[in-house]
Amino acid sequence: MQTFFTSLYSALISIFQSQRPADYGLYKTDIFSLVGWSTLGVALLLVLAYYYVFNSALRTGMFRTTHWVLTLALAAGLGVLLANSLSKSHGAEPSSYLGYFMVVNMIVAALWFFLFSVLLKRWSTYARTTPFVGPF
Amino acid sequence: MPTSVSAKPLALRFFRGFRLAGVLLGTALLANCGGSEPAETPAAKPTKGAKPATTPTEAETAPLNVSVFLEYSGGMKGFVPRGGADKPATEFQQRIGALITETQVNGAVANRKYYLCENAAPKAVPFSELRNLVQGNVAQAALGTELPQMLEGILARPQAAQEVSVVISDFIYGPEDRSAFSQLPNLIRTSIAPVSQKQLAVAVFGETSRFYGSYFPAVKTPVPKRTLNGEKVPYYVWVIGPPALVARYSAEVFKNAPAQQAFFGLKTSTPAFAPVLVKLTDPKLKPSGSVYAEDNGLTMKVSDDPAEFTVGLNLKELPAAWQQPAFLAQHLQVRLPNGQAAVVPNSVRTLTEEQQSGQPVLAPYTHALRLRVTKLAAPTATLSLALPAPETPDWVSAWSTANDNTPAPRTFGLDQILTGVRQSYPTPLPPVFTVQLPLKNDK
Repeated sequence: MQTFFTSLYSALISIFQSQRPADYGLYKTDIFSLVGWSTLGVALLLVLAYYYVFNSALRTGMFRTTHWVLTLALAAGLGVLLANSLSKSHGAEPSSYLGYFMVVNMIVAALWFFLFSVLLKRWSTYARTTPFVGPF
Repeated sequence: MPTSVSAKPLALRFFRGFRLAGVLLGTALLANCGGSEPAETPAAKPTKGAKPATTPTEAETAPLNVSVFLEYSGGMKGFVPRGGADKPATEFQQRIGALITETQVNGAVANRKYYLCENAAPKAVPFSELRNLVQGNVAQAALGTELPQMLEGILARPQAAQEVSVVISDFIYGPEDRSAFSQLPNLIRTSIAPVSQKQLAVAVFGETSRFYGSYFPAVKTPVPKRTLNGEKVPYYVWVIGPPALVARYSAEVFKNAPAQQAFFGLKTSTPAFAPVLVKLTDPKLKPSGSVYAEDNGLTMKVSDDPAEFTVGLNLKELPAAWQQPAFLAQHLQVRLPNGQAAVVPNSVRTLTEEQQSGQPVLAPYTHALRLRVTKLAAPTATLSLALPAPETPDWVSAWSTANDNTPAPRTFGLDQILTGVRQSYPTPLPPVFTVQLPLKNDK
């Protein structure tokens, strides 16, 4: 999985910047997998909360696509935050690479959120068709 | 109907949902354990701080034992006139007085012994007697030995191969047998045979000093002896011993050495060396291009832009003259098989205390320089940075003469004598040090 996250992030960041920073070794050994797992976990938790807490256990009426999009935005925002704070706490230096990493992790967090939504929405009581009907 | 779903199926559905999530989480956790384990192995850990280093070899330093030999013959007496308020000390008295004092008190020296080389075997004397002698408080001086015999006697001692021998003499060779002149290099080479047999190093320091008294030139015609009154003639300090110890003595004890220096077979222990990429504040030191530290080496991509980075070196064991950035910039050699690398011009610098305290990553080093890698063809390669030993310096021929009957700041046959020393070593001279840095090509 570490290799997966490293290649995922490296490939996505290289779209913006092909040069690797001096502390890339740190990203490779620690930061990518840590941020990768945390982002995945946060996206999953938000999906569970949205579909099974707010739209199954509780009846909050937040099944509209707007609510879903807002939660997705929250996931994306947390993705940026996680990439920034975890990298810095592991000793990464502020650099353009870190900036692009934050951008990429925002997209990745949104992606995970979308993916988990599609996978898990059918067991939700009130939001099984949010944001769209199907495919399951 | 959808709103009238009873409580039981709802709960069931709810839990089914969680079951699925649980399965997902479970697989995720399993994958986590399996996947990230290799990253946690000890082998991968040290790369964390991105600070690869060829290990500093501080531990292997042998104790520095020193024996100082002062040739004390009639020909040396003129360097050490009796002082007084009206008579300033000669250069010899200042320099050698400081050197023996430093040898006596310096913490780097483990043991020190002092000898006088008269016409017989070296005679051990206490420090105070040697100091008195340098001060000029002495009446008697011996006839003097011939140079090859003196060197032979010093190097024949069994401990000579393990310690540093410091020979202070005018190195004027005036043999009884005139025909020996033609064999000067060979005579010297034979007399210092242990140097090549036991791979010792020789450091030669030369200085001119005012001279008061009887001067005995090697060439005895037209006059075999002159009386000088303050004219300047040369004397030399030879430091002979194991290469790393000679380097240490020259750098740490003989700190205020004269400018004329020549080193043969000098080798330092492998200096602390590492690329320094992160935690730098000085923009001139920060890396450029695509390069990062990994597995005790560097991984770089130089296909688009060359990689340029700072490396730190601890060169405190080099003689002071060789620590000069200009000297290093001129002599340091970079080799990279299957690639192209060089020292960036004007990038060699000595690190100031300010730079070191502001950037603690530089603290282990005395020097920093920039390396630029422009080509790297193989997937992996080893960059080596070496300081090739310089050949006999130019001042030697300028200080040599074929006729020293008229006193001048030249020594009879100095070039011949040092040719004899030079011939004790292979050609080319072995490098003073070599450090290596593994490189990896970034796919």
